[in-house]
Amino acid sequence: MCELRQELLSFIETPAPEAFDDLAMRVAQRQSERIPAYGRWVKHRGGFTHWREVPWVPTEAFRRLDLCADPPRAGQQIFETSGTTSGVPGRRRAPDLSLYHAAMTAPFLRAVLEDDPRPRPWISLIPEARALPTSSLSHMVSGLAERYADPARSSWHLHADGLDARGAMEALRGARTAAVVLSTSFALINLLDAWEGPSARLPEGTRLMLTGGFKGRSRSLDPSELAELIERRLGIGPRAIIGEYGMTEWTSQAYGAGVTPALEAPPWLKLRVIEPGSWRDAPPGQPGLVAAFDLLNLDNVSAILTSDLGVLDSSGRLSLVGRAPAARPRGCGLTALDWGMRT
Amino acid sequence: MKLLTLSDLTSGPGAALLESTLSMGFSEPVARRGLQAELDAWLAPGALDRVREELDGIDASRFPREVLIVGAATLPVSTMRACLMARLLGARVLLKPASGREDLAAAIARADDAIEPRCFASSDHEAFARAVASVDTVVALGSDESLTQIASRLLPEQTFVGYGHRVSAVHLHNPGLDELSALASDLLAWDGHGCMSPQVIWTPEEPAVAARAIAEALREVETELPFAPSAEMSHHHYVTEALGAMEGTVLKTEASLLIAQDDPTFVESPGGRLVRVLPDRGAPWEALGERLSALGCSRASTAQPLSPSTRRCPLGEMQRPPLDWPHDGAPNLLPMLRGAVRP
Repeated sequence: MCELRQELLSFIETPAPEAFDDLAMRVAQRQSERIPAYGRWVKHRGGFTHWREVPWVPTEAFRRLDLCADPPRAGQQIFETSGTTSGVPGRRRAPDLSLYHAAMTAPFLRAVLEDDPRPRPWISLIPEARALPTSSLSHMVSGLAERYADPARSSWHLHADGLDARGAMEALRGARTAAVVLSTSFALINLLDAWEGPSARLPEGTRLMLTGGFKGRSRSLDPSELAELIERRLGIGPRAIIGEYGMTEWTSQAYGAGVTPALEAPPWLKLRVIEPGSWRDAPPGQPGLVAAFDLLNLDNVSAILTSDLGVLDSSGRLSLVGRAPAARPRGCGLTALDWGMRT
Repeated sequence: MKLLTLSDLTSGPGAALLESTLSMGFSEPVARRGLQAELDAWLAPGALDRVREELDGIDASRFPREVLIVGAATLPVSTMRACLMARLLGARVLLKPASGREDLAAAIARADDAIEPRCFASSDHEAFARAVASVDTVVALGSDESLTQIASRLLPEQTFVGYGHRVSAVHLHNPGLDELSALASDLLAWDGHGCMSPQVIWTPEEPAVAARAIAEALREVETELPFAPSAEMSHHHYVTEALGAMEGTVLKTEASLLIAQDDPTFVESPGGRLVRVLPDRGAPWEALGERLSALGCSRASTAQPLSPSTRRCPLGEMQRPPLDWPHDGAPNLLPMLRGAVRP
């Protein structure tokens, strides 16, 4: 194991904020040296002298380029995005998952399980990793389930052939002790829309981890409608909902309470909000593009520019407020009118 | 022809037209130059008569009495020209501007009291039904999906003319300095927006070398044509620049971005003075077929568009189509006649 990876593992174990800058510089330097395409981008931007100056790679790049510091080898883990937004999935080759596995536990344990590691029933609308091996979310949830779920009382309800709504409803209605429910927003909406029969009343102490947007895979709901629907159908109040923010292109995750969470990043993930154009940090309260420096993306690229729009509060917590518009073709008539599609 | 009063950009309707164009985000020099180019085409000796020649031998009873024009958001000139053509037929015009372009409709209507703005939300089906109820013909500028939807809402006896999305390109072979300067004007006109704005330059020379020559020419011309991209455009430029630097060569001038790459495949650009310089291997423009609106060619170029509807023109003329140019390969007036067959 390389020395830097070992240092990062130590950082996860005992984060020392003062060590971040140096580690970040060394991580970014390694990436620019070992990933030729990224090295060209860094050179084009004139290099960097601080991790905050490291050129971001837009998430779109993962659809076109293999941004990995290690040569491809058989058996390596490859994570893929859904490709829902553009039609082309993004890919991240992850040759060493030690950082991923080490980092996913503590933030989840604290945010979702409230530091209570006792095994509980899990009801998941996120596929198991063996059902969807290219999903980083499935990989994370399956890994966490091995540690914290009671397998005898846990169930998975999203499979290759779709949502097992009947099984999910039965599991949710049948929960007799505090459970952990995990879902993407669109899977949950689809379940709640398909709901038949009496509502579930999940026991006190149940937590719902919700992640992702709707991505056109379900109808969209505003947060208050979603919270109301969750409470009505599942008996899970807003305070028991935990939002998770992660992406295929990252190793780390951020969490926050509620359906519109103020997300807190772990010490190894720096979340920023950037004003497009000036490319400076937006002041707290001002929306901009979400950019991340994920220290643990050692084998890929740490400085990533997302297409998410967000706002930071004065404590540095991030609220997501939408998505940046996709690039539009530039014809004379285009953007004139999306008849019947725009409201 | 009252609409010709728009040609005085210093007062009256012309000044309002200029003002409305500035509100679309163009700098004053860009707006003036673009509008003047269009108005010059209107005022060219014999231009109106040449267009009217289409009507020789046509029974005037087939002329539409009222035309609904669904205008464009990107540029003012395509909407202006559509109004002019309808007025050459003597038709009254109901002008539905794109959202946020109400000022443009008002300015055009100020020049000619036979033009009436009809402002309503694109999603307002009832307002659309009212607008379309009295007209013989609907002319729409929009995405292909929008055009299909609009056409589906018309009565069988109503004529529909749709101008969908097109793209333009350049074939650059051994250009003289004057041609590089002319190309720079084509690239900077309307800040790279519109169907006739070149998105790709194909060259038999080394793309990066050609890009450097083009960048030099752009630097000369763009001092007179300032440009400040919107936040949204800046984001798209950042993404394109990053991908371009990782996959090829990026050249930046004060206000333009050139991406030189080895893959000749056409890639749609978000506009805003961003153009790709690609190798000419195997006449790659032919893959665009009828989507190719204009192919600007240097004198030494022997490139020929595949489709007869493509306008092959010298550099410097790409965004200055003559008034009698067959728009998308079709006559300008005949498709608007009552009883004209829908394409």
